[in-house]
Amino acid sequence: MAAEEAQETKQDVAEKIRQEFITYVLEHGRKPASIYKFAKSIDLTESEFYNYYTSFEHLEQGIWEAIFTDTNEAIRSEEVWTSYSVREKLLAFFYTLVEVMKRNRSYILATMSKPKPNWTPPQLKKFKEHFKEFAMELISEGVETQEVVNRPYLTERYHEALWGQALFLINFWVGDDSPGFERTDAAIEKAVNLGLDLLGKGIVDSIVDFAKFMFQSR
Amino acid sequence: MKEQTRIPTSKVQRAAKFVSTGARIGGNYLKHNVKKVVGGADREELHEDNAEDIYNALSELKGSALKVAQMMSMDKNMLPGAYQERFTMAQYSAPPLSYPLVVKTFQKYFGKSPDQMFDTFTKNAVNAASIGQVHQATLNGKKLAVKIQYPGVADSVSSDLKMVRPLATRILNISSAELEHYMAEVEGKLLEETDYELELRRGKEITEACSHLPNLRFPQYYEEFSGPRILTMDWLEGKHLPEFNASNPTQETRDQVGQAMWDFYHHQIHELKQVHADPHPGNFIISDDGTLGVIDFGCVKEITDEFYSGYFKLLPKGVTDREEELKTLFYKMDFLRNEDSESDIRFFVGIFKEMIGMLGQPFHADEFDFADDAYFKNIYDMGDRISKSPEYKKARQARGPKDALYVNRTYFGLYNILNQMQARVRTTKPAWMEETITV
Repeated sequence: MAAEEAQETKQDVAEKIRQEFITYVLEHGRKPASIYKFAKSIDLTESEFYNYYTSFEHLEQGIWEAIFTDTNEAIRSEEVWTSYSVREKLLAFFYTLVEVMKRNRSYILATMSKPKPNWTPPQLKKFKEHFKEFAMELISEGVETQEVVNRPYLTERYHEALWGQALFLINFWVGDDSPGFERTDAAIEKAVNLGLDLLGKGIVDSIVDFAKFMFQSR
Repeated sequence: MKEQTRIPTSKVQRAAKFVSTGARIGGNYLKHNVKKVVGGADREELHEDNAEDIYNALSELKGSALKVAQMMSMDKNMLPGAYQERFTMAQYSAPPLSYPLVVKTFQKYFGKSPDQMFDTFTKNAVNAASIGQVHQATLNGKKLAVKIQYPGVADSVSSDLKMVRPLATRILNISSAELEHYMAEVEGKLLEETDYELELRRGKEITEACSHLPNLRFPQYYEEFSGPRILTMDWLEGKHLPEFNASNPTQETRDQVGQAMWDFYHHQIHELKQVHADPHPGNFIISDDGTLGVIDFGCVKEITDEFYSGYFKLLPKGVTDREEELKTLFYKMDFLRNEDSESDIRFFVGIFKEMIGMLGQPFHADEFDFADDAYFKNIYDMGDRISKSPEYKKARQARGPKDALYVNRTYFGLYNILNQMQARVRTTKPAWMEETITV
């Protein structure tokens, strides 16, 4: 019981540190000069601060980790979630992610660097780890429901493709200037549909299958 | 010398473009209905080849581009009937919005999911509109149609139109300047169409103003379940036009529905001075007792007094005999221009007179039989003759008021539907027109 309470407050403090950090960045347009100064400004000692985060980089990753957690909790609390297909689950994830990110759009715009191909911004490291788990869960579910085709060598790498898609959508949203970010909604819809169509059984599978058959019956 | 040949030819084409819009529509449907009475085989093949390319290119487009495609296929009628039908189909097969996005859209405007708002709500769309889709819902035992717009459509109208532009200039063989003349009007209307709040207001207005007309019915709109991207109205039971026509209705029923359609348009144009400018078969639902249901008030054209007085003066019978009066009108409406030479004027007046006489024909008697394919064939022949003239092929300009674009579209659409329906209609005229006829 006591441990649970302690756990609770520990999360609260972490949450407070993240919020204060975001506020600081937004108001000053830069990160705090040192952990010492930042900790002091929120009534913590430097050593207390290290109980939660070991560096500003770590803290920034924590902010994105929280974005993932909030998204993940929100989608699973929806009643329809369990009745969704894999495609719909992925869609729901991205739509919700966009909503969660919207709360901190200014912070994200201020800290997000220009997108580069095949490069994950360092602050997304933890987010990526969680997303990978989430993606692999969806993929194995998809294999079961036959929405996703199990292809040798490729199946283990599907999650990387989904991560590429997630990164693309996050960057698309960062650069979106349409009212209500409607373009992002359209991008999500189209990207996920294309993605799932590619993961599903398609023409290439039939070609490979046919080629294999012809080769074997030579 | 060069100047001399260039100017008049371009005018021929401007004129011809203006006519051929409607003329060809009749033709297409005729071809479709009467199995190719017109046009050599080569030409037909050429059409089909072109149309296939065009169709393939356009079917890739979504949202407003699809809308433009539909409009072009209707207005300019460069697509043979078969493809036109496929276009109409395309409207029903745009890729559906996923359910999570539908939920998101509801959350955004109402803070609730559809399940929380209605007793039942179909997870999949039951129908696709060109810029959205329709779900069926029930509430307190009432069936409702809930239209949800694709995200980002409003935002992409301009860029979509830019995308269609090069294609359109090529298909229609007109200069981008001429296209611009129309595109500004089209863009404005398309943007209006993405505004469901405006549609709701207009739907209510027109519905109320037309409620006294017989054999017509309108859905009731529900403001509390509607927003900028969601529109909720009554679900109308009945058949779409093609199904209705295929169900072999009696002549009496055809006439009744046709008359309702005519009265509806007559009242809007001459009394309300604003008109449902989208007489697309998908926007009408006919119930089993022969009542015409009108849905979708996305495209409404307001008719200015200035345009009205010029345009409709051209319709009464005998107007073509009063040449001086006609010329004044032509100048006023930008069909003739001050820089036109004597021979230009003669040429133009000739073409326009023929057109007006032909297109005004339904107005010249008390009753008109739209089942008369010969009438549509004549229109088509005229359009074909003008469009085949060498001058037409060279010239690349437009003339005539841009307001005419949607009013023409309305009339050609109406004629067309009445022709498909094979209806005989009492062609009522506004009071002032009756007077001019008797004078």
